[in-house]
Amino acid sequence: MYKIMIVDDAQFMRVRLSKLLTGHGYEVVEAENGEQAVQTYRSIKPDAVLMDVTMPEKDGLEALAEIRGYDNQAKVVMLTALGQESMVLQAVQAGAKDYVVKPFDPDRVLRALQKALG
Amino acid sequence: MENKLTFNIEADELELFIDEVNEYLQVIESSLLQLEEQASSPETLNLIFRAAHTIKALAGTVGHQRMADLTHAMESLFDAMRNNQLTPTQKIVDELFDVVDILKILRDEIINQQASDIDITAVLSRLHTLIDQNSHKASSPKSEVSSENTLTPEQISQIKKLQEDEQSVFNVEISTDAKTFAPAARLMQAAMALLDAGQIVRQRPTMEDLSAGKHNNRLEIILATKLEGKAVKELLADVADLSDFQVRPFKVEQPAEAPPPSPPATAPKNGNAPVSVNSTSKTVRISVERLDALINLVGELVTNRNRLKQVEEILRSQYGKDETVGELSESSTHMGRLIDQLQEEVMRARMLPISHLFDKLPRLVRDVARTSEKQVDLIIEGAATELDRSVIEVIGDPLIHLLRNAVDHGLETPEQRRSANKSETGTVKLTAAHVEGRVVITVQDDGKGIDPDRVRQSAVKRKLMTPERAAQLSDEEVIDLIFQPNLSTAEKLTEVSGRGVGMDVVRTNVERLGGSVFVESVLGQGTVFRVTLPLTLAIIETMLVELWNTVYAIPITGINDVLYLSDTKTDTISGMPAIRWRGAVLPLINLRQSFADPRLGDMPKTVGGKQAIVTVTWGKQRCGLIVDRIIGKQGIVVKSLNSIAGEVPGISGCTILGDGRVALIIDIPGLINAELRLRHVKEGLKNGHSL
Repeated sequence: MYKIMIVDDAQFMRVRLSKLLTGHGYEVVEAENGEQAVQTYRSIKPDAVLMDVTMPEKDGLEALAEIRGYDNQAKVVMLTALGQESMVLQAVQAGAKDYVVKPFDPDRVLRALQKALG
Repeated sequence: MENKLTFNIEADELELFIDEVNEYLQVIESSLLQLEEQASSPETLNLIFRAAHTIKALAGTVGHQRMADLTHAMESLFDAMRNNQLTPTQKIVDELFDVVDILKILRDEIINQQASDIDITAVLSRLHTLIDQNSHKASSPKSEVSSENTLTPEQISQIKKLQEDEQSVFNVEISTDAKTFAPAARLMQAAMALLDAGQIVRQRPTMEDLSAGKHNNRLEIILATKLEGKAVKELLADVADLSDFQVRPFKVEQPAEAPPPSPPATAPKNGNAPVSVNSTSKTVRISVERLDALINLVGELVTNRNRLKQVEEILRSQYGKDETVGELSESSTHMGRLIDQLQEEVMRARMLPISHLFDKLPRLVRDVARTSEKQVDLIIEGAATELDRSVIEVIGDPLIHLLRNAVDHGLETPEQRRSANKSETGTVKLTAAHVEGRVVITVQDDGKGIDPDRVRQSAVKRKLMTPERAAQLSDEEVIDLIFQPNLSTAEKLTEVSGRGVGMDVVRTNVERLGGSVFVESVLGQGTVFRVTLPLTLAIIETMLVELWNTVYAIPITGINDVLYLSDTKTDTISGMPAIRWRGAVLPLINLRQSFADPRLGDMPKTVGGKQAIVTVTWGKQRCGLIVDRIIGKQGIVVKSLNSIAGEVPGISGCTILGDGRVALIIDIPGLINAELRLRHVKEGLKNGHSL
């Protein structure tokens, strides 16, 4: 079973995503900011990461850079919103495998994950 | 219904959703206040931006488009502010406060699943105008893509070498739909995918150009790879939002000058950046219902523990120092301690910092100050003070009322203050603290204070009392009259003394919670309201007493002392029974009379037990309650009586005892009020006053 880390500061979003992923046979761990994401990634080593861009403590871009620095094979899919084009670009440049725009279409999230996992 | 709305949200998600939206709205509101006071920092702007951003995502996720649109506009404004493209003027801040109010209405649409009559078009267009006027649009030159289609000699030789190395070279052309979100990022994603697959000989536009938004929604790459063309296509098929892509074997055309290939973007390499190792505090949200269920279970445990204690006592009296009884007693004592701890932990889980309530108040004070044309500094202390959420939920309205009054009626206008040699800006101070197992909240203003003589006049005019009686009362007692219901409706009083609107409601509500509220005021200097509340409403420590054969529980927080009736000498003072106690006269209330129920017939006159007096205090009132017998101290779980018996004067609720009996909880303020007021009436009649 693939283990997916969901990173979002809004609990509602985590609950939503978590429901979606567990419903499709994924195991889920959650982190609520970039800092936690980096630490959780190190300790749990999930198979893929779904991560919000805008977060307190450490934003998604910083966390992405740290996670990729720690594991250059890290498969990170960014969750983003309209208005964040430049951040998405930076994320992709920094090694994000894909990005999904909020409000997200569940199929898109699942597809992005499947692709990231290969 | 015509205006019914449906959202993409399950019933069990609603509470979390609303909680979270409220949390972020609160962040926006308090940050706006900081902006208004020019006390904002870059962090504030980041915080407020993130909050708007998150609400947008939340609203979008449940399909509330108008709410998402409005927060999106708000977010853009905050973004412009944090990039110093827009200065938050008072007008903008005012507008944003209005937006927050509208967002609250839109939020309620989700709760009620019903459209409100709010129309956001006007406010949206105002926000957009602000954004357009003030933010310098980042210029996005998109047309500077080189149309050169030639390769450098170096590139050509590189390609040859790669082909010799048994790599296939492809010419890849990719295009995206201009209307997709972040097309540059999709193109970049495609480029990154190809980079993973092999070596990019040439890329147009380059990564830099893509980053700068220089692209015509097209990307052209010459790729050398060990993969077959089909595999390359599969890679690209994985990239979302591409409208078209072609993968053709590369054919060398005319060698000529071309822009040098861009170095492939490298992933940042700061893997060993310092990571603080603070253990992430793991928290979960628990629904209130679940906590309440837990409280109830703990309550049952407490009840059963008490029952166990009783059984243990019976066994002890039967078997004396039996070893098994000793063991039982030991383990029941131990269990008792565990249950106490469990109860404490569960109670702690229900505790919230009062900031949950306090955070909402600066906005309120601001609004009231504006409409009443006052200048106010609001000082808040002790916002971290924790109390049970049941208390926080119900204390909000009385507190808001006190605060509103403090600003509206307590403080003077800047002109009045100036002529009174005070600073034009008044101060309202709100504090919370734990004092002796209770929470004390004060609302203090440095305004004009309450004039006792005006209250006297008003009370007489309202026929609440005779002029003689009014003159007899001390200033303190007179000021306390503002909590009288009849006085509160006096329009005149509101104008002249500035107090009284709904104060009776405040006191009633606070007392219903087992709390008290008192006022102190110095004319010309200000007024302070002191609200004392229990930490929790769910479990209380009580003294169990018996009256005839019914058990009553007296909340321990109101009790001073227990005396035996036989040890005291009862006098009759003003026709009422009383004792001298600690140098003062203590009126006695015989609970047998207070709770005499005609349906039960007369209680036997003689009392079997040793009659006792429980002395209780409520505010400044003291009195002694005569009971038949003291049973002992016990923690009880409060259950409402309302659903069974309706409101019973002098009784605030009930509990189930260990032996299954029901005990009635005595409402000390209610009882004192009812009994002593009755005495005033009798006294008045005796003295020949009409009321």
